[in-house]
Amino acid sequence: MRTADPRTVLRSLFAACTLALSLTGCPTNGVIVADDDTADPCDAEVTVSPVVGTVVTVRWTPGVDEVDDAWVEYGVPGTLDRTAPAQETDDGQFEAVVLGLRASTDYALRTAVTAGGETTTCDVGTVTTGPLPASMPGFAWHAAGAGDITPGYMLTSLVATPPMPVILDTEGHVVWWYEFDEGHPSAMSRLIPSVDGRSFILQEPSGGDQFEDPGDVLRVSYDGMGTEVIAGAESGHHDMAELPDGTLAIIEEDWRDVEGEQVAADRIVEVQPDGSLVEIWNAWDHEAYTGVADEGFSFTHANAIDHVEAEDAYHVSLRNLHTIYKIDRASGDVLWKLGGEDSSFTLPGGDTGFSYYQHQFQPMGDEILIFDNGDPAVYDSRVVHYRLDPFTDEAELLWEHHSDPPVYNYGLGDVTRLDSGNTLVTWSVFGRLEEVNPGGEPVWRINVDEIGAGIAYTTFLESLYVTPPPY
Amino acid sequence: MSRLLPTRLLLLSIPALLLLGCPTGDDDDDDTTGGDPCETGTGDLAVVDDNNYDFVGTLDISTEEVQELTSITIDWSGLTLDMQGHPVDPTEIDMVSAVVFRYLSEEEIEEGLSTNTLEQADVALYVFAETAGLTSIELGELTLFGTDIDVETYFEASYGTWLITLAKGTTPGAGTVMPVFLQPVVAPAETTVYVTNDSTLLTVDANLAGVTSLPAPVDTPLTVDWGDLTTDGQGNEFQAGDVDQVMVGYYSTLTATDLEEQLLDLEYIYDGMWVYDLEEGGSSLDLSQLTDDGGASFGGITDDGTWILALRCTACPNPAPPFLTTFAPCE
Repeated sequence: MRTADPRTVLRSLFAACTLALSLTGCPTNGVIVADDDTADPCDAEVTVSPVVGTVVTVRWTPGVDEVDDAWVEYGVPGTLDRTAPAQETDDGQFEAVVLGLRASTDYALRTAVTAGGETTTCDVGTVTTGPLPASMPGFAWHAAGAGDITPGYMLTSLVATPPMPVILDTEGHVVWWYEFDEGHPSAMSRLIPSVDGRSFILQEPSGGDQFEDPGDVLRVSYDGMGTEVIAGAESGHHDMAELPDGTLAIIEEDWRDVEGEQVAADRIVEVQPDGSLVEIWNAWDHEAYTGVADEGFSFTHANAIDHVEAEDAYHVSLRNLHTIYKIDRASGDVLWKLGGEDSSFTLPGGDTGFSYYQHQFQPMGDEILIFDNGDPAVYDSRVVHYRLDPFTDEAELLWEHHSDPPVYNYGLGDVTRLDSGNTLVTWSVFGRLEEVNPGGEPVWRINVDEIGAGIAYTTFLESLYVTPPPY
Repeated sequence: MSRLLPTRLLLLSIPALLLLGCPTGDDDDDDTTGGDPCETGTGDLAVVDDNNYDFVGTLDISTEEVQELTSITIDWSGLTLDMQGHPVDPTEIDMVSAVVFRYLSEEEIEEGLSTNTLEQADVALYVFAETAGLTSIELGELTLFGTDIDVETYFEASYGTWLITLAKGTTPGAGTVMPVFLQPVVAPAETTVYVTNDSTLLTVDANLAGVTSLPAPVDTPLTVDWGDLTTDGQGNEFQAGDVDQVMVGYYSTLTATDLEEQLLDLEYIYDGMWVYDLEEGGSSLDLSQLTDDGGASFGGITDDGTWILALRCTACPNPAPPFLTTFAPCE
């Protein structure tokens, strides 16, 4: 490995303003340039996003042919313990978008390339990220001490007016956000990284009127500079899943006339990369109208969807039927149903449901984690972990977790088993995230420190550059 | 069909950033204050805890008994004063919310509201409705961000402590005009609650006259840095992230003692007032970015009257600023 000579300096794009910048603490855009002002493979343009001040874009021309790999190494001053992959741009430069940075914080960074088996790194520059927006509520992070923190990031959205998608690290710091302008959506229920490696995808739970304004799916570039409604996905609600080829699976309501009454059930529709729409599965084919409409929603009230790549299968949660379906993607066949009146598995104690009104879940082979909102009268939402035995058709309860004191989480709610063995629980309406160890003891908690802001579904990633997300 | 939303402009120029109100910094190791501003005349001010006033606010929220499991009517047609005693037009109430605290008593809620220490985790249920132009609404019309959850089915004393809040603006927790507790009781009982001028009594005890005033040169552009504040006016940990507005006020004939007696009226009795909304956060500011109602920039203080500096949290339930001090003008 060759390391470049220590002959580079970081200086502002506008040298005359360098002092002013250092005094004001404004986000420091700049360039890393060779000190002789000639073109140099270590010259790099560093830009702090004016929209999301914790996102830094680095562009440079490596100056070598046939680059095998290019990246930016970064970390707090004195360390370069993280890397951001770079992609070649249309003009032959390389560009890396540095993510996971905290606000109003100094970071060190340098560019690196591998070509012909040789890795070249440049000298280290520094950059200062921008501040959090004033509209961002505080997040009170409490270490509870029950084991090690699982490092990573939580992609979610504040359920507030206006909604604000955010990414938090597991020490409670905001590292990304997006502020909506006037005419903002009512809420955002899901935030995931896109497989394009350049953007995040947001799901609007619904537009508030099932006939005129169902929920959009938005794509927001990492730096917040580009936003678009994904064509074909304007009618989804609650949740979506992106497949490795970029196909987007949405939950959509299918309204029909049932003896003079307009009633909706849910279906899974894929928005494929060429823009075509394909219906994968439709609840009308499997569930009879219960006669109990859910004002503003389908009678099935789907609220969560996952795609398991290894099985090429969808799982979808139907809240009002207290049921999770597993569906073969290729055929649309129902592989099993968990919960409800026609469960494929017998639940402990002979219950037909886990309890009531479940929301997010995480399939894990023959096991599944479920956020079980539960009965309002019981006021004790919980997380349940079942093993589904395909031979005995029994669901064995392996683990459950309750809030202390008990709470009733009447909307949303999420759960993720982390690689560390700990579990991330999202108590949505309570504005609380917590990591708990296998004993159910909290490792840490994050509380929104003001009233009126809940937390939507949460996607956990060990690295923001991992796509597709593992959950 | 894809519809593209406006792509935001890439702002690379430093002048542009400054024009957008990028706050001045707080993380620099350099001494940006440059010593005693009255000796140097630089106008670079740094506030410390000794400059901050003392404030004790007490909320006494009344409790009204109404019929449980009923979509009761909330009526504020008779409301003419807010809890601070300022005139209010009942048709200009923008939002009514119902918040249920499962595990907190009325006294604990009053304390939490006074100290801005309530969290969403304390809240078992939060529903609201926008009410501009209205003077009454039914409980069942309050929704969870537009979703009707039949809140009246939860309306029992066993569900928790019920707080109804009338507010200006639609930011949850902010702009509180008048709160009232509801006590659901078994039928038959009242099915209308009247929110009146007496629903909440807010009493304030403040010490502004005794603070260490902030020395500042007259007729000089000022910058202020509050990065070293640790305690707010109520003695709680200073939350820099809560500060979303900076205000300078001028009172030509009133003393600091007069002002502390009219602390909730500072925005009504001024002879000059300049404000700046900290949309980008930060912990320091060039005060020339503050403007008055006419859009004129703040140009500095004079050596007459009383000048105050306030760091405000407009999104906090408690209207008292976390930081408030008086200037000590110097030549």
